[in-house]
Amino acid sequence: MWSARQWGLLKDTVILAGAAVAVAVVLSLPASYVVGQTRRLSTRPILVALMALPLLLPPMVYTFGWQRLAAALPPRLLCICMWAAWGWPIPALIVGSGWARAGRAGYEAALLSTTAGSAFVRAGLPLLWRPLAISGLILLVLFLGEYTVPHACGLSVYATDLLGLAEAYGPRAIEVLWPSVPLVGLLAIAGGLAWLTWRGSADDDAGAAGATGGSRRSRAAIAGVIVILGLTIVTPIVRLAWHGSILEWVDLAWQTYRVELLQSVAVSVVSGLAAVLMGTGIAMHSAGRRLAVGWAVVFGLLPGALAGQALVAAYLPVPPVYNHWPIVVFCHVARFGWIGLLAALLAWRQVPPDLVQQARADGADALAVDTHVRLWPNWPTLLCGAGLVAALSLADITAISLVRVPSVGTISLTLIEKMHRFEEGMLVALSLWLVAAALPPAALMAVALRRRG
Amino acid sequence: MGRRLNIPVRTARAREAGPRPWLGRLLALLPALVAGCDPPPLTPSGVIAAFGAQGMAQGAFVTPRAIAVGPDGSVYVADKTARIQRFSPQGEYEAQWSMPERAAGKPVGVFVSPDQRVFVADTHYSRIMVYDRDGNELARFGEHGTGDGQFLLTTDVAMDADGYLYVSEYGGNDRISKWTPDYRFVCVLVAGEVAGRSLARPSALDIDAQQTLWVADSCNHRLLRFDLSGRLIAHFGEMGDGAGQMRFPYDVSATRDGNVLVCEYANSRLQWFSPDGRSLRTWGAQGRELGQLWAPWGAAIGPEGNVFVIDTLNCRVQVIRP
Repeated sequence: MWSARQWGLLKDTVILAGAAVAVAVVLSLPASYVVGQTRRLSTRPILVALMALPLLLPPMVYTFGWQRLAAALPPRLLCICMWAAWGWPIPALIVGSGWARAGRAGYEAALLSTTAGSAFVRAGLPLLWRPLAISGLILLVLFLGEYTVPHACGLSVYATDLLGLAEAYGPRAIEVLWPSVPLVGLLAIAGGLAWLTWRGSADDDAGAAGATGGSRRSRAAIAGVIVILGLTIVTPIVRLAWHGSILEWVDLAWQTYRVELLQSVAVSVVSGLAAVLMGTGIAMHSAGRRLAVGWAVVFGLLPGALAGQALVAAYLPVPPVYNHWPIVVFCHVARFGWIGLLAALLAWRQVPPDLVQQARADGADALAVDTHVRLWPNWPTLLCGAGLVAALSLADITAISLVRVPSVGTISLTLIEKMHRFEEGMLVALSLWLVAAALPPAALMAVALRRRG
Repeated sequence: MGRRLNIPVRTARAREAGPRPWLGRLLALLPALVAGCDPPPLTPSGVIAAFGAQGMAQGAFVTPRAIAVGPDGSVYVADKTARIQRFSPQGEYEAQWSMPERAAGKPVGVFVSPDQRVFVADTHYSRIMVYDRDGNELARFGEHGTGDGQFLLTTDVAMDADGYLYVSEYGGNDRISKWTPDYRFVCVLVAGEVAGRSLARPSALDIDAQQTLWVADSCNHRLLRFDLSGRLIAHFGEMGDGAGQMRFPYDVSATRDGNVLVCEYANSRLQWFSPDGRSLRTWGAQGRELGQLWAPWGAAIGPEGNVFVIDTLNCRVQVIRP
């Protein structure tokens, strides 16, 4: 069975992740309020894109910044804060949307007969528990499988141990399979609960509230969001870049690693497009659509070490894949393909049914409807999905450290190597490159939301 | 338990996985369709043997990062599991031991003295460990700090003809210090700016037959040569992948014919230089096949002149007759 050390690591990981979830939810409250004041996310595209931006960045980049701001913090506290500062937009978006859909209507109805506080406790909170639970569970899943922040803080978590095992045993996936069972079990429970809660929350959607916003309280909340964004995201990145030699470092990093960077970007973009292509293929079939969310959950739950190890074992006998960039693309799609799938589903569902029927009545065949009515007009959504996958692929470390190939440089691995070698200038410059790489997908998201609105 | 692997052109991982299935053979004919055109396969010229594979078994490696050859031809390899393994000159596994502590990090430097003491740069514990050839600890010296007799992150050890030791370190206090044969601090030999640039991760040292000290100044992509009083004699190299250029030279070894051998981590190759900095030849390119290297951390020269290079990401040692 599993050793006492492994159980200890698992316990530590759960404690760290649980604490980070709690802090992230607290940090998300002002943003939840702002999102809750809007009828649809698409009415605030820039704010939503700004809130999504942190999620596109490797969390370890924040850690590098915060380590320069708060070096005296104990490692465990730093790890909790870093995870929370990275993940808070998730509860903000989910809880805020839940409030907008149902919570606010119930709360406003209760206001007619009682005080604000009592209305919130009696009518608002009961409608908010599902979004709170979903966002908490999603964060828990993300933190349980994440190892870079603890690693940068000098801590070992369960995912660190799994990656170490995977590196030690090479292509023998079975050696990693058994030790990964406790983590996969936890992830499956959290993912399953999130899924069940999500299904239940669909019943609450009927009472979607109308849009208001723009009140004085809302403006104060927007200011709060901007302050939290500034404190958690902008401050550490600015601190990271705040150095007299920064331009020299960026130039040196470009001279030294431009080939690796361009190769990484190219492979990540191909991965993003492949993920969306896969998602589109699934979305175009009704059976695929029915299974899609389940697939997405399974994709998203795989620990990186296990995904990477399985890919190595599967493609080792196929040298053209194993030795070249295709396995890297497969790895990224395995890790983040669920985003491409969700983007395709979103694009699919954005088209009003009467428009589809009109196209059919005009003589369009099924393929023409799918491509010209459903997909093409929603290219920003699809491109946004591809951009998200590309940005996350560029920053991935866990799985890619197992499937890396000699012919393609991997800038995220170079970054972590620089961390290990204490090469300050390179570390900062490469981190800033990854920050820059997250900007185009965030801008695409704003465009997609604006078009949707 | 010993083994020597004269490997046909296969990868380390493929060796563990058994014979290549027919599907792989078929698909191997179509690389241009799936993965673009491969560069022409390199003839593994000069490779006379290879040993090791990925794993934690005896004779296998997890990211090997340091290598040294003793006067009797024994080969010592340190890897990321904090093991030191000893192999015969033919690559047969003989013995292994682990570092006393390893949670904070693993060693990146090994040196074997003429009397077969094994010096291990215990990098993250700011010290040098001294063992006999069977792994019995003989001594340890150094402590964490930036003062005299202290280290931050040690990388390598060299010894001159009088038995004095030279230790390189990095981590913000990049320098080379000198120690007596009985491990007492003598002085800081090299620190700060050298030939216009600050030392940046001196990752390897070697002393040649003329008793001059070679330093791989890895993050400055250059080699430095000092006399044993710390006076700079020569420096050469710049970043690049052409002849005479380097990318992250992680190891340097003086050859028997008076030249120096440099192991370039980021160019995945070996390069030989004359003492005045002329590039004499290069060997290797990035890849998984024999005759190719992938992020090599170190190379050492055996008593017969063979070069043992640790092919780090391929988890093996290739033996080359230059």
